[in-house]
Amino acid sequence: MHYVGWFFVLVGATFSFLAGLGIFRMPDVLNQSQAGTKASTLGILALLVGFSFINPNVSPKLILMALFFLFSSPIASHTICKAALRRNKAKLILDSNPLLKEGEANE
Amino acid sequence: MFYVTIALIVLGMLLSIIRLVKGDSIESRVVAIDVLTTITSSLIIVFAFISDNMLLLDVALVYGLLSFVGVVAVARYLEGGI
Amino acid sequence: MNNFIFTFLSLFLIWSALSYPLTNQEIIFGLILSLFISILTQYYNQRSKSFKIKSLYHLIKYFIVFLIELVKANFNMARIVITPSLPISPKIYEVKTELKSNIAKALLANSITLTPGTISVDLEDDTIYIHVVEGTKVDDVEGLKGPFEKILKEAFE
Repeated sequence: MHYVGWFFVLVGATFSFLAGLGIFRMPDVLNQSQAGTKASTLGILALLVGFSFINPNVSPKLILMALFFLFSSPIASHTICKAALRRNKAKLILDSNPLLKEGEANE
Repeated sequence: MFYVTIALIVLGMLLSIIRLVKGDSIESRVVAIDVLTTITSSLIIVFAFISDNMLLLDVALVYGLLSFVGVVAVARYLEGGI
Repeated sequence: MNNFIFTFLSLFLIWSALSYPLTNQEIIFGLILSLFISILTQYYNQRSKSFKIKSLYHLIKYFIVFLIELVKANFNMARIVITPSLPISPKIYEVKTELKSNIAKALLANSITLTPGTISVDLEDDTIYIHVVEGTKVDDVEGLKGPFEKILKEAFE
């Protein structure tokens, strides 16, 4: 039981690291939000599952926290993306779409 | 084992802090704050198990709750709907 | 009455999960508190539709499919982030949805956000704007919704 728990904890820590790396490397807001939100959600989920294997006394609270993070983080990223799109619609679509730019340059 | 976990989480925090400092637009900084608070609350959970003090779990839950409300409020303000 | 019992049970379940090693006085206080809150909110519950047991089964099925898709999405995103040349080609698509109720639309947008390579950016009436990381790999725009629309339609209608 302990080893399964530690495996999940290590997977969670790795995905937290990947969230940081993704948000560091991606070029603009929408892509950053893709990389950051997904990886950090799975990271904290795997961490909570792993600790609830290690210490079963507090597992109901950990499961409740996991449900909260699972449903709150997509909503937060959705509101930020909506605000970014509404604020500078044309610019963002052109910037994040290299195919469109090349097509315009060719014509 | 705890050391590897803490090292990975702190590395993720450092990378997102760098993005927060040199972000190119205000929305990208807000995204960085969102990811940073989620990673920080996972660090608080790890500390709760190191120090064997289960009260810190409540701290992590409330930290995540407050960061969610804050991020949504800032996004609504940027959109102009508040 | 059905809604009243459902509110009471879910409130008491959340209370007992938050204070798990339960003692007697915590059980009694939780019962009193959840009864009080469900009496207070009875007026608002009367107007909403009553909850069916059958949709609970569909929601559990939805949850399992959702978790599998979440893990797949993360491995896909990890592959993109680790690759040194960063193979991204972002695009924004419009997709129509057939769902009517608000909560079903919200759940659909939520699950699109956590499925491989897509994020739901905006929602107007019945059009969802979806941002895709690897835009060159998309050949079927309707397929971006994944298996979720069918399951949610069975659960809520």
